[in-house]
Amino acid sequence: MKKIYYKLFLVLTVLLAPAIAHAQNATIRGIITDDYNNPVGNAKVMLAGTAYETLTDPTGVYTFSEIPYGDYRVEVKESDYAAVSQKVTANQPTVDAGKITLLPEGRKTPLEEQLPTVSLEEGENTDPSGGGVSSALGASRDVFASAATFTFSVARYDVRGYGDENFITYMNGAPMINLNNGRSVYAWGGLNDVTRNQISAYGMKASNYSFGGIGGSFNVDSKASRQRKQTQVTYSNANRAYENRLMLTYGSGIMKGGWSVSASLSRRWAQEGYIPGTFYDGWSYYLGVEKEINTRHSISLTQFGVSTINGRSTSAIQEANDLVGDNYFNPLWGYQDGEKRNSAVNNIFTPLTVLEHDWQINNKSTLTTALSYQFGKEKRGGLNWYNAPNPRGDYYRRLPSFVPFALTDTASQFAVQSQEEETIRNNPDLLQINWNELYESNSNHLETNNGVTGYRASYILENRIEDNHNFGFNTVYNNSFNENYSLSAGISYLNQKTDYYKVLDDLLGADYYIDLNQFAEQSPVPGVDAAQNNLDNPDNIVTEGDEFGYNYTSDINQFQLWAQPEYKGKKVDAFLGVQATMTTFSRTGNYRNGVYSDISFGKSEEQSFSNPMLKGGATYKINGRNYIFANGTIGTRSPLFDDAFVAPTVNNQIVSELEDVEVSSVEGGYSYKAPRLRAQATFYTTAIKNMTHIYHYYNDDVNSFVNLAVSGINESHTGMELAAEATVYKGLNVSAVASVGNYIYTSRQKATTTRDNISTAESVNETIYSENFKAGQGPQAAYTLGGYYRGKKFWSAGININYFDQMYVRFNPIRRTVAAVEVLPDGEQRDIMLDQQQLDAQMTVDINASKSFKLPTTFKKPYRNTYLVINVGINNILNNQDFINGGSEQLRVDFDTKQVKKFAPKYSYAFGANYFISVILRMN
Amino acid sequence: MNTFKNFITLSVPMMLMLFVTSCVDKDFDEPPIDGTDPEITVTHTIDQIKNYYVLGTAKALPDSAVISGIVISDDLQGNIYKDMIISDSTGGILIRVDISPLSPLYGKGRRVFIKCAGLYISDYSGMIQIGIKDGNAVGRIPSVLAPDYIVRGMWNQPFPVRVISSINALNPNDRTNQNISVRFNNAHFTESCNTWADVATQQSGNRIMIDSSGATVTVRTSGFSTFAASFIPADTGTVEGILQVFNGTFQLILRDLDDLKDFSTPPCVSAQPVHSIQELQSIYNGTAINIANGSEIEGIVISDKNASNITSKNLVIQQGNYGVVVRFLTNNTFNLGDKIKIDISGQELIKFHGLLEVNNVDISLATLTGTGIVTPRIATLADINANGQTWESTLVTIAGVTISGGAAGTYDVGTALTDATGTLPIFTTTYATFAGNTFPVTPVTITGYIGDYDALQLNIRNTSDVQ
Repeated sequence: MKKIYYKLFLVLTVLLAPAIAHAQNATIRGIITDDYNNPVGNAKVMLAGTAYETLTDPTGVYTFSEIPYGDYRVEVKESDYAAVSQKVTANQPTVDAGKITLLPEGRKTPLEEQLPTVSLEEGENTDPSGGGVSSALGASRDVFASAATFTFSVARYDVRGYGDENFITYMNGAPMINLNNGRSVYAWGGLNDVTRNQISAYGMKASNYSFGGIGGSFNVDSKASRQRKQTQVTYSNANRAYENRLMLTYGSGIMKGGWSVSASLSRRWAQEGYIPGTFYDGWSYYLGVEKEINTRHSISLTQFGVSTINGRSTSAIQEANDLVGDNYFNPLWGYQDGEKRNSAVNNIFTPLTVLEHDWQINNKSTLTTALSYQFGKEKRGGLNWYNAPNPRGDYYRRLPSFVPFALTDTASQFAVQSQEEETIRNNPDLLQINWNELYESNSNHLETNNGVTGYRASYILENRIEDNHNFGFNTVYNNSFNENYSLSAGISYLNQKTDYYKVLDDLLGADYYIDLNQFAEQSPVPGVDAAQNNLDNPDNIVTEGDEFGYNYTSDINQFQLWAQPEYKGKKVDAFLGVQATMTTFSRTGNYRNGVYSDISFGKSEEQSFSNPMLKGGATYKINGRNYIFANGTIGTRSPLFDDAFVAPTVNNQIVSELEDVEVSSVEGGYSYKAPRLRAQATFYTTAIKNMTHIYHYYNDDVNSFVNLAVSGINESHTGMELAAEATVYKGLNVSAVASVGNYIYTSRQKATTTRDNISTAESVNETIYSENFKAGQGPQAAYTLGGYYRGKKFWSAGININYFDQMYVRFNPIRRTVAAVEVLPDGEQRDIMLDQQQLDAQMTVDINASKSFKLPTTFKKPYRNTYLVINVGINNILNNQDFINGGSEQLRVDFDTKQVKKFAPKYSYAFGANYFISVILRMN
Repeated sequence: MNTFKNFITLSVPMMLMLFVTSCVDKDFDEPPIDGTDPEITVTHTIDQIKNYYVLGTAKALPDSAVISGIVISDDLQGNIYKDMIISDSTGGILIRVDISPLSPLYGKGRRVFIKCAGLYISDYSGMIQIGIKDGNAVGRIPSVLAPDYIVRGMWNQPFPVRVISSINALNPNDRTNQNISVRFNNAHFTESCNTWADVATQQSGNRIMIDSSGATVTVRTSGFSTFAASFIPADTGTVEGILQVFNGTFQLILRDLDDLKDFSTPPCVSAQPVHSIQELQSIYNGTAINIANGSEIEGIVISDKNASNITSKNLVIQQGNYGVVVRFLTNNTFNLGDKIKIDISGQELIKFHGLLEVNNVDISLATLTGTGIVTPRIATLADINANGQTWESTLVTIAGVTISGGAAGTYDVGTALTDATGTLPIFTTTYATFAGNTFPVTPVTITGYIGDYDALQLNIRNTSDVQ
């Protein structure tokens, strides 16, 4: 085995690392971080006993050039930290001195030696669209940020109640953003080992790699030279979204000739996840190669991809949960062949390549340039049907609550309701998908259409595909002119083209499907061609693998410039940032839709926006322990593609009065930093104005998909964040974190409703009486109390007690219109229609423990040490299964009876007790 | 520590194998299609189960009762909604089921078994039906309960079709005559080029079919059916469907247009969009026709509703040398000399007693675009009589004509023009503001537009047309 490894390394080395001729002098490089793995910039680094002295750059990196061969000692002195030194031998042109971790005065062992503790990470989020970007901020290891992202994630806590577009993510300097929806792109699930190096800026703090969003920014550094020299195997077992995880990771460290190579491969899988009917199969790979060309230039190439296939779950109404007797009831699956088959399968593979060039222009300035390209498909599977009953077992007309709407006689209603309840309780599978019936429906209707004879499908499985082509260029210039002044500035250009279309995935036993818009067939105004999804290919016969339905392309360009001078003084630090963004986007329709024949095909009017943004902040250092700070941002940003087109699947129509989104935000607070106590209190208030949002839903009153375009959305986000961490006894830390906010709508929104089956709008600029309703979702108040003990023999244990409050069901604008409540007198029914439901406050308890063993050295070469690390975490150990962590009002409203119960809100529940065990074998 | 080393060297490849081989199984066999009848004993015929029916109440069916029949309904075209109609040799019955559409699983030709325990029988306007109890009526069997009552059997089963030569030979009050599949040979319809139902209002339509004996049958079609907007054929053919009753009269329900056999499709829609009044005249081919989508005409109003010699629902517009009557669904507000544009897409073009007319136009389709003046054509009565069909609904001026007739020398009803070349009736309604005025007895120069009511006539607008 040993030989095989060696050969593998040898081959890699020979292929990728041709040695470079020796020189007499060496360059010594290293990085300085604090015990939270944050880089320490501007730290003074010396070679002890010599005159060599330098400052670290903002990424914590220091470089000594032209150092004669010999043994040295690198010494770091930084206020608030204990002095540290480390031996280094200069015996080759480039010497990696590795990382030096600074400890606050008074603390002895670096946190890192505690070895990794359990992270909740990606297994927690079952909804692929869910997981907030903000989770990345946890990398900062700031007590508050860590709680906000890991501990609070069970409640779907959003930092400051912000949407994803308020956080900016980078990978090796390349912006990771999906310009269609403004969300960050996370394409590195399962590659935990190689994406641990992260720097982040929480809130509106200055960062030297980005202007940042109002929520924060974060950069993952997965360059090969930054990966540890080690080989690591990790096996994890859990009962969350996946059950098993295996990861192999190799890092060469910086080798002779300045080459570094690292690689990682992982698989995550589950036959069935925590939620019934979900499965998970994810493969991830990563390959990083970096070459330090000389002391000034290095180039890194990173390529990685994550292929995930998983069965989805969805929220359900409480009536269905109660009938099935399970709050994790998932209507998306059904039995086929005696096994659970999921009808909503995601299949996502969007590999990313980043080429980064680091240029140390001189001792004070650097230029970091990244080129990135990401492509690939996100397929979201689901059932579709033509002229057949809704296949959902929990379709509202199938539930007992619908009986009063179907029968007129009260006594009969009661009788049938209880009969239905009993029937479903005896056979909960009635609320699941009945695959056998779907196959049966598909296999008995022999028809000849468009020259083809065969069984015409009533039901199909389709994939809704987003095929992305993202190109990015980003360059950042940093200059630390002197001890006091520095400048960061950057230019970026992003282009994203996404093809949106559908592909037929499974005919479920039928021979073909016909591409028709069945809703337009039954629409009240008949047109000869209205039912055609594509007039240029009428009555298209579709079989497995064929495109159909809709087909359009988004094309978005974003050009950005920013600059940020920074001052660091004895008493005051201050910065000022300016950013200019130019955005253009358009939609190109590739199908001529029958309902919108005149505005569906070809390129839309190009939308163009220029947006300035200003940012600034200051910290006043009362003394070494007490700080007061304030930061602010004001400016505009362009609306998002996804919020700009009323019905992008069928036409080029733009939301009326599409305007710049106005953003203004201030934060300020006080922080205390002492060796045994750290505390921070932050107040923030933010206004975001002129947002638009498009809702798409099916309304069977009008027998069509409906597009609800809401504009004029103004929000206010105000709150406090409190965090304190204290060392109360040797090795015992306690922490307390509280986040209390108020996120509300501050305007009356306007809604325009259009349908996919008729070209005239249903309502135009209807007023939504939305003022002071709660915005967003997730708790507006969250608290955790933590204890953490680190034992002497490499073990640790922790506990968090969490409490969540002020959670609200996501708001449906249509229920707050005149039409929804007119003729309803003041009273209970009117109140129920208008009130936004507050969910019950919840408590959870999480525990974790970790132990690591230093094992006898297994392979003497190339590794000296072998460690075995075991991590165990149990979240929600009290098994609270009544924790609604996601609720939304259904968009349908019954205008006839005006009864909300006909379309009750849908809930999703936080996992009950769930565990994660990880065993890591590390050789370094 | 060789043991440990061995452990590592063994366990790593083993984990690698686990890595690659542990598969997440997501491939599924396709289930077999159930093509067999269940082993259920049928206890009653459809006619026997109707014995339990009692007028005015929902009557429980016996727990042991099982009936069986072949589905004769098909709701894929939306003309039947949540009704499953089954028949056996003794007749047919309607089962109310809250599933839509039913055809994918309970399609035409499939044998089904109804386990009657818990079901009730009642009627709606004389039509006997089975469902769940809803007071004194029966409601639809809920979708989740359907498997408890309805068992699916084999597909593609033949079912009886009664050939009916005269509907008058059938008694609508005989329960064996309802909900059966029927065929009429040599039948035709009275309203060719009308649609089966009104799609705009989604109201059901009742159309008349004449069977081979000359007796009439109402064909009822839902405004929600996909063929509601199709045109009724003009010729004779075979008509199939489901015979139902409503308060003692028969109604024929078409499942889809395949129920019409041996009919030819009438040319009810113009081949091309129309953009001028001249084109309008040329597309009319002798029967009512619907004007193709994308059609629009513009012209100047040459009629005068204010003088009331024309109903306010109508106006006459002229464009160049051609004119046409437009009949609106409601009164119009356009005045003589207004220039208007009308979207006539999908509108009906008919001849009303010989006069070309765009019929039943919604007033919102007409927009005022300005005003204009039409110079009348100078003609003799002989010219008019010779060219009246092309000149109809255009303005003419005839010099040196004498008016005669009328009631006591007034314009009211029955006047006529005479010149050296011929004669032409004048049209004046009793409601015209000038109907009671006396007309000049000396020869006059008269202006008006050419009308037609089974014969050519001149319509004067008001008294200033007579000089």
